[in-house]
Amino acid sequence: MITEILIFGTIWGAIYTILALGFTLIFGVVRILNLAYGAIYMVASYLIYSLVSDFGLAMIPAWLLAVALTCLVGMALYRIFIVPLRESLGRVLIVTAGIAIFLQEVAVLTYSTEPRYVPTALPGSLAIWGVRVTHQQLLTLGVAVVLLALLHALLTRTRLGRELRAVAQDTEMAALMGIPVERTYLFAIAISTALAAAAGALIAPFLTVSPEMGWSPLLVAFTIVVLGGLGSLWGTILAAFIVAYAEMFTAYAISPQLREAVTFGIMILTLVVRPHGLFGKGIVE
Amino acid sequence: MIRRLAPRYLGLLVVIGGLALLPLWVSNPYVLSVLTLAALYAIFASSWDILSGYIGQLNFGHAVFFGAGAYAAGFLGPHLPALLVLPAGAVAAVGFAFLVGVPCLKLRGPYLSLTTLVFPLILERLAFTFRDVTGGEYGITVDPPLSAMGLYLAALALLLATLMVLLAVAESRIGSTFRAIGDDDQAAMAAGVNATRFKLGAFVLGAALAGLGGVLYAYHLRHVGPEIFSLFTSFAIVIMGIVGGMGTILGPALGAFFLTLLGESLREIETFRVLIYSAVLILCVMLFPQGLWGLGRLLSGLARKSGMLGRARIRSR
Repeated sequence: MITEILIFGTIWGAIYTILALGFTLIFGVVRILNLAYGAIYMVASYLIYSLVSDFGLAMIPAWLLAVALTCLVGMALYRIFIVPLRESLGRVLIVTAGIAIFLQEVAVLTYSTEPRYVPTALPGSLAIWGVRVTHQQLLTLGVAVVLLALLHALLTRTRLGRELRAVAQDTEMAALMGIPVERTYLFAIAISTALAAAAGALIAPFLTVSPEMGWSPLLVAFTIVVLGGLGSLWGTILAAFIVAYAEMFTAYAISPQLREAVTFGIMILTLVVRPHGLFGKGIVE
Repeated sequence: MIRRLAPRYLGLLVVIGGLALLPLWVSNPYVLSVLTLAALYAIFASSWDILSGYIGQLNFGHAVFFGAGAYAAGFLGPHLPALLVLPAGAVAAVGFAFLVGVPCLKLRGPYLSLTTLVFPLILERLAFTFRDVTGGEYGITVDPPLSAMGLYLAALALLLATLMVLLAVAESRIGSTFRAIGDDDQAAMAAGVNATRFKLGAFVLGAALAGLGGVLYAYHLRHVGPEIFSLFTSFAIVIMGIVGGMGTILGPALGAFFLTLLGESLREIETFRVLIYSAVLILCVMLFPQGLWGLGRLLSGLARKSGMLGRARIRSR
């Protein structure tokens, strides 16, 4: 049981890190809380399903195409619905919640509530310390690590990364320094939706795809941000793994049904005991 | 204060009294059932408004409170006389108001919204898991002590009482303090307002009224199950409040009637109900952030400006 918790906790920790980083990116740079974040992940999963099952694409092209299409959807939603409301955090919150429900219903009407299965890209499995791990799960872990390394390089080594960090630190000053803030926002949205889409695409083969699948990752991402503290990369990664191991411990040692309840318990406990999170500024003003 | 409230109280009495007399002409049990549901949603939406609309702390988990009331009816219904179940529902909801309110007090804006969103989901999971107590996904069957007609009248009476209490609070000094905290809680605290206590007070007041409504809701459905804590149940209340017009008490009640009746009139295309709700929400936030109530005010203001009636009224002042 302990090996299962360790192995699957590590795999989920990597996925959660991607999810949480995408979520904090919008949060930190554009300064909005995007409740449609989970819906974006759901859209990506269904796109993969359709591209593979209905259009017969191979896994890798389907994956890339789904991430690209989801990115476009995210950017279009941002331009149409968020930009006019951006001054009011409350209205952005409500409109993104509305978009999330709307997209979920579109999925219900298009695919019905019946869960769908996405075939794995790498069939087969191997045993690690006596635990059966599918190749797909290992691939997911590998891709997640590569994505994290790419994101880190993007944020620290490129001009775009510097601009993103500058806008996150002080939007006005960044604008005065000649950074095109609006364009940077759009890039942040694009990267964030790409990360959500990538996470959806990575998980789709070993979970079922269903219309309401987006809420749990949204709330998990929020929990991780609360626990890790805002604006702290290492805090986010550490928190993602804490949440993942805690979830796996609950699932294997207590009851799989309580998995989410424990995550939400962590969120509330953090808010009560350590509202600033482990590192960083925290969300309590 | 009473003078300011009098026209609204009178309007309320006329509208709700009219609804109460409706069964004299319309005896269709289906209509009665839809109106009961609308009245219950109106109780939930207006009790949601005192925290969300006045203090501006959007509560995405109001279902916790009426769900607590409904489960109280399920647990205690067979053991207590009917008249004691109602207060028990309110007490249960107030207990949850402290449980939710205390961790949320330090939070503001969107953070509070996401945190409140999580509470009903925890309860939903617990209800699924501890099936010996809660009946799991099947829930608990509730035996209503009232006939359908009695329940309809009880719901209307509770709606009337809820709206009158909330309007009185909203128009009092407490209401202005709520608004001051909503505008700028730092400034309110600097002026000597104990913002924490007022926020908790708004949680408790809204929860107590929702808990009472929750008991009737369980009677109406004759059942209570974990789906009462589902995401959409809480969102439906938020949508009703926003579409009706936040921070007006009567607006959210209006929104509840509007959306419930809209949902029922679209019964043939039942599958599109949620889609339409969310589309109405998005349109409303984009185009009429003041909701139906604000729209009505705007239109009546325009009519007054252009009409003779309005001019006469202005002159007489």
